[in-house]
Amino acid sequence: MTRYPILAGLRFLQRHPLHLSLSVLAIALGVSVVGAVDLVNGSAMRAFVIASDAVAGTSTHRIVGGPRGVPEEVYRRLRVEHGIRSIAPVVEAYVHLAPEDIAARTVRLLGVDIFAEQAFRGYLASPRLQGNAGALLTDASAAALPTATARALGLAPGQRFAIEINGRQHYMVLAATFDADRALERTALASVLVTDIATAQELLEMEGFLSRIDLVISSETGAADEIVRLLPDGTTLAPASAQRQALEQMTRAFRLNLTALSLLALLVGMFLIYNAMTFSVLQRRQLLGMLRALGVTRAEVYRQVLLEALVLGVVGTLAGLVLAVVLGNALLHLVTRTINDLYFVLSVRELALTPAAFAKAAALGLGATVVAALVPAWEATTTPPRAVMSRIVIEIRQRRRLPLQLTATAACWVAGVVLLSASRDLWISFAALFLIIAGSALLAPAATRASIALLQPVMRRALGVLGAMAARGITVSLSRTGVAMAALSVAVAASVGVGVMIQSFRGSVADWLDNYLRADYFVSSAASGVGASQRLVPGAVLDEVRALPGVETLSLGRMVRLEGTGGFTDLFVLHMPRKSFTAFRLIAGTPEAAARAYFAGDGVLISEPYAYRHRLAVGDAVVLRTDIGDRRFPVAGIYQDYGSDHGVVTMSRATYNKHWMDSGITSFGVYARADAVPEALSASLRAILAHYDGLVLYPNRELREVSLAVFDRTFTVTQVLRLLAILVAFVGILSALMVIQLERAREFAVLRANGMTPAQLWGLVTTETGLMGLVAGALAVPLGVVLAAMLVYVINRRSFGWSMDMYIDPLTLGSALLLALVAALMAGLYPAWRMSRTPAALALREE
Amino acid sequence: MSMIRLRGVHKTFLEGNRRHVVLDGTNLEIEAGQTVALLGRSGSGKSTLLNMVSGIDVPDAGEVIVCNENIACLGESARTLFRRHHVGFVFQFFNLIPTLTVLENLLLPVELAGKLNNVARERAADLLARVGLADRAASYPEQLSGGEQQRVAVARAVIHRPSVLLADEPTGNLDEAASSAVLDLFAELVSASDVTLLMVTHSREIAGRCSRVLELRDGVAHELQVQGT
Repeated sequence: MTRYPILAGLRFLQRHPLHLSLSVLAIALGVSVVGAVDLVNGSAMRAFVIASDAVAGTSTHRIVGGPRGVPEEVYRRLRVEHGIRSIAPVVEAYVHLAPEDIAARTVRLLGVDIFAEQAFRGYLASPRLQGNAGALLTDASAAALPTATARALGLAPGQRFAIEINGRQHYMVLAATFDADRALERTALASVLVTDIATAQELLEMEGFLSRIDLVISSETGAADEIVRLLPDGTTLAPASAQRQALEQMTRAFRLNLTALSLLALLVGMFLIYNAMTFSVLQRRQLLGMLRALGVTRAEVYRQVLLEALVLGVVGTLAGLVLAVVLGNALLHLVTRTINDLYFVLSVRELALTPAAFAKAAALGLGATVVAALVPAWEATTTPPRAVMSRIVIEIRQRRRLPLQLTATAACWVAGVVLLSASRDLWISFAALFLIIAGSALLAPAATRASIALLQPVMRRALGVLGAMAARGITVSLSRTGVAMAALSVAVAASVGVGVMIQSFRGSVADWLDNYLRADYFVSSAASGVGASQRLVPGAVLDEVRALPGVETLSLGRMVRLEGTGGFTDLFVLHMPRKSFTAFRLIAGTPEAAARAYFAGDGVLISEPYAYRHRLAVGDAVVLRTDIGDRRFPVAGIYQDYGSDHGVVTMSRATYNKHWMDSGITSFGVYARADAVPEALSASLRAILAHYDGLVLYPNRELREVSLAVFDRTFTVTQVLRLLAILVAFVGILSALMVIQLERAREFAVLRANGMTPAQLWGLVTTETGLMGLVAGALAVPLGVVLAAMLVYVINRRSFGWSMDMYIDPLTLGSALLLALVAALMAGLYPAWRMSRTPAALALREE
Repeated sequence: MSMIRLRGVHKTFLEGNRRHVVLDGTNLEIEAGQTVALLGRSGSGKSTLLNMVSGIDVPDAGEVIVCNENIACLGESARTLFRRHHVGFVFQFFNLIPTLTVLENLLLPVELAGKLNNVARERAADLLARVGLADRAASYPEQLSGGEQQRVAVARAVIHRPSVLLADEPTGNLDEAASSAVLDLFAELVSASDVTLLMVTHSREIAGRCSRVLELRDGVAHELQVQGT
């Protein structure tokens, strides 16, 4: 490629610094959002995998049990009676370390037998522990911490520190410290607290039970089959990786949605790059025409425009990668918190800056820039090789293209709908969503022309000749305004779509909570969040509460996670008054039949996500591992549930009691008598619970609010990404409209020369950009609603298995219009100011 | 030897629903080294004829033979390369690339032809000196007057030693003094480089400085008697 044409192009960019910097900023923001989300997702998963692997050690399999765990006796028999040596007992739960300290954190309490650890977690083997390792066996409050964690907490051997389990505080003594061999493991183990197995059992009230038994088994010797034969009913042997994979799988949809949202920001950025490049080509038609006349070929022009885009892309991408790290650090906390709220306990201390994440973001940024510049580059090759080309020819060509653009719109929409109905795959669904957005963008020029045709008479009546000029100014330069309108409406529509989706989701959850929460008060363990150990409610509490005069009845809940070879199933056991069965809003199965089967122990209910994930319908069966072996439970109904996207199986207490030897409950609801005085009942309940550590009381309304607060918290990251997409849009709109107006310097100078006052010029420019903002906003609203409908009815369902209703808040739609209007008006300010201050003669001469 | 030969060239344009005939079987023959002025009213097809000769446009029918090559039969890319090597162009407006310096503008055709070397640089310096702008090599076009810009454009049009120099009203935008300077330059450079000049103009006076004058009327080129100035 020859040097001077390239130099000419690059200098053109350099001579339009405002346009250039806004385009670079749009790319940088798009790349930073994608990069940040990828870094955060990667860091979270990396931390999770490293932590799981470090804690699992070298174990190949694990024996897991029923609701209460694996009876200790199983371990003893395997080790002593059957002589299996590569075997280690584990008691495990999440607890809060130093709850009152600012360094408070959730850590994994690992109860182990330090003599059995050598083959599994070498760093916990007794010879490797530094300090008084023997105390772990003899002192019920002795614990060991990683050296770095102890140092961070300012703890020396022999010092006391507090931990909180299920709302109850315990004091431990630092007896020993330990260190893993590898740096990665050391990072992963920073959040592990180790005690002897008996201490952990006592702390977690798991006397006689183990969380699991770790094993190292050769896969070829048939040892696994042998062990399975030795296991009692209610326990099973699972590969060590099964749970990790299941947990990883659980967050897949969440992470994918974050990625898709970040890609939406990049897509908006792409439109803006497309807009910037198209505009720079249009602006330079004379220059390109001259080059063509001098013998520059079409292919050379094409390569030149692509090269310029690439230069913008490289600069924007580099800036974007730096921003990605800053943004990633800010998002890390939000994403980790959401994973903690919804899925499992995860501690991610820092962003893992992997070359792969940077490479991916850079490739996406550069790729998006080049793809966005393909059409403008092709446009540039159509420049005829002559020096002067009439603007009107360009506009006529644009007008002739309108039918083609409408056909392309229809094609994109049809392709989108076909893709949506052809596959349940989430990536394909997102591809369809993006196709529909692209199709809608192609519609923008025609829709703008039609809207302005309708508005022009109104503008003339309202604002006179200036009003008509402002309106006409948009359609006569549709080659430029059409692209900006497309970018503007897509950007605003994306914001409307995500906004309405979040509202719909929240509205559906609020509505569901209203129906689902039937009791007047709820009591549960103070430990909150997924992964909190399930402390059982003491039976005495129930007796005392039942005896209160204002109490009509109680509902009793028991949450159980059944682990098996293929992951786990969450089982919710619920004893409730018959009248409360309507709390389950059935989406499949008749309420009468489902209630009959549920209470008679002939069937279970499954939540909608569970049914979606396992492709189950009423009449099918769920196979669960019970204390008396695997049992099939017919599905009597499928109910709406937003509590977990993993899905839940709900069964009556009677059914549960038939299959599990477990009488524990983990939460209960209190139904007040009609004549009960709320204040008095509330006070009595509080008085009872005051005698039992770690139990919290939630009045109905409060639990609803707490649940919605968790919802809002988990959607903070979505809102942040939405705001970033809006920011990208705002920058792009500002750039596009500003350049359109600046390019008309000569036209404005002619107007000024003919007697238009600076104030009138201000009026003309801001009316025109304002009108563009308004029309783009108006186009964005229906597109935004369509996007929201796709997110609500298709993407969310396919991601999480939830169906929900659309809730459209007029405020969201109004604020979208306002966003477009404000961005457009702001874009008009600088050109209006500049032109009103530039003497007309100078502007005419400059041209 | 004939440098430019048009045989039965037809060209029409669609204007709204009406087809407008611009060139109607035009025949034309220009010998190597001739300087030819092309007169005609606005819209008579002068620029279209120039576009045919340069390969910017192709006729609906007929032959356009330049440098013994029928460029009407060439594809778009081949015509562009033909133009790159054999044609120099001077327009009325917007001749120079605003984002390249005077020297870079001058060297652009040589570079496009892949002949950018020290000899070319020396020639550029020599041409700049001859157009009286040796001290403006690093200036951008916007820093030059209209006349100066057009002088650079003329120098650029001949730097790669084209066989044919096409000029579309090269002085239409200049005052009398500047026009005269540019035309003198044309005469000097054309005679020095033995190039064939075809110049579109409205001015009979300017036309008088050429060795032949043609007038395009009703799509046909008519030979006019040269009147000396």
